Amino acid sequence: MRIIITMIMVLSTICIVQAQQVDFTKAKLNANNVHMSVEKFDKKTVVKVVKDSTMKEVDEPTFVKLKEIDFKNGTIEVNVLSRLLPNAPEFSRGFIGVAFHITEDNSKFECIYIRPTNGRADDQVRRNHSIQYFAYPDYKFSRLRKESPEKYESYADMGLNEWIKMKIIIKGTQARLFLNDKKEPSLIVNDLKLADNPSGGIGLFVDVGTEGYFTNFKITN
Amino acid sequence: MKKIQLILILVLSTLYVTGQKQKLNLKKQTFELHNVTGSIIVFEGKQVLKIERDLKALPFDVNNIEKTVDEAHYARLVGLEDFENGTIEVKMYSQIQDPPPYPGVAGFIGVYFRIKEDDSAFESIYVRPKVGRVNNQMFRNHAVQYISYPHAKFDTLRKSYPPGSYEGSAPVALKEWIKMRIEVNGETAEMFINDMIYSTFIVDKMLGKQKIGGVGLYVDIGTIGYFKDLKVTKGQLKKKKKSTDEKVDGI
Repeated sequence: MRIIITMIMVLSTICIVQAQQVDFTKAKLNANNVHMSVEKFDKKTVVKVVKDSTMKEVDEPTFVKLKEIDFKNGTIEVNVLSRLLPNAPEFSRGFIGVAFHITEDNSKFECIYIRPTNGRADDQVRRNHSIQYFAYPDYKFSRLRKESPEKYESYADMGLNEWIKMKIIIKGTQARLFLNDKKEPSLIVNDLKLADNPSGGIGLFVDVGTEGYFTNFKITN
Repeated sequence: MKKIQLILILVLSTLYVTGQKQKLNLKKQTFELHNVTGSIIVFEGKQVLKIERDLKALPFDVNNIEKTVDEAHYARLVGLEDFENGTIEVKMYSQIQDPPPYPGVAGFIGVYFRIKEDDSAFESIYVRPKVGRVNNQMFRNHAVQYISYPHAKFDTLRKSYPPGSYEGSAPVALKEWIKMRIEVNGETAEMFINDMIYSTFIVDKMLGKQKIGGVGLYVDIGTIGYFKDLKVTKGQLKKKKKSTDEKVDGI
């Protein structure tokens, strides 16, 4: 009897998935080429992130990095909402997403972001660019699009000013993005460029023209 | 007995000689089969139209794929020759023949519209259910296809326009009912899957010169296609709301 109880205890300990909810407080966050503030928005505690306007290039390390997180494989969940800044340039798309496998010095990372203004555009090409994967510094979107069109991008319905749940599941060289608890992934990348990195940080990513909001961040290793 | 057989043969051969196409009645609708074989069957408890491409009437050549696909193989709705703008909706279910006639088959199924009387021109949106959920993003992004017959078939479009101009992803799979609704308005066609609020696919500027015509249900090589509840509603040309979202580039 005792053995059985011990066994059950051991098993249940093993079965507890290590989900980690990260509450956003300034002390746990590190702004990198972005302005950030923790505030109340839509009745939630959110991190508001805006790219530093002096950073002119796109697909750069422009994110809020979460301190003390070391992540290689597992699940990242976060709710994002994107608006365009009043002075957003014409090519702004509401770029918002998640960077992962970030090296300590931010010199390398991978990222999946979305372009909410494209989700319901009249132009099918733009719709097909609603979701983007890229790896910094060698595989920015423009190179991937040119060398492997349609492989690192896809369409999903989305819009500005809407809470969108992003769930990214990473396993080895594969990343899958699930939006709004859908059963089917909206993007599959089977050859992550930095999968060989031992592990790394996670960042809340925005790009030019975006006023981005993040909440309900959770990781499961 | 012999007499009946003879008459039957005579009738059938007359049909054949005069090029009369087989007609099938599904509830109040009549469909005329163009280069497809078909029947009305009971499928999952409902009467449905089942069609497959007729490879004898219209042969397929693996070395000449584009020339021998996206052709006039479909079931035409009889009695409607003036569809220009409006809505077409239908429930469809795609299965692949066993064994498949060619490895590249993808369960091609969809709708033809604005079909010219002699089949020499039409517009189409169809899906490839086999790739809707595969583990390859590029294939997934080819789950929906627009074509304009005869000058803009799938491969021509792939080669002549930026990737993704006339294709997209969609939540479709083999062996499940897919509700497709196409809203046609002037140069634009928008496709909705399973009554989702926002369209899954849009063609902003269709390529056909044929602006009015018939409506048909399409399958291509390797597909066993089942269709039910086709509903065509003609409408007036609606003014498009002016998009404030300027197109600057493909970002």
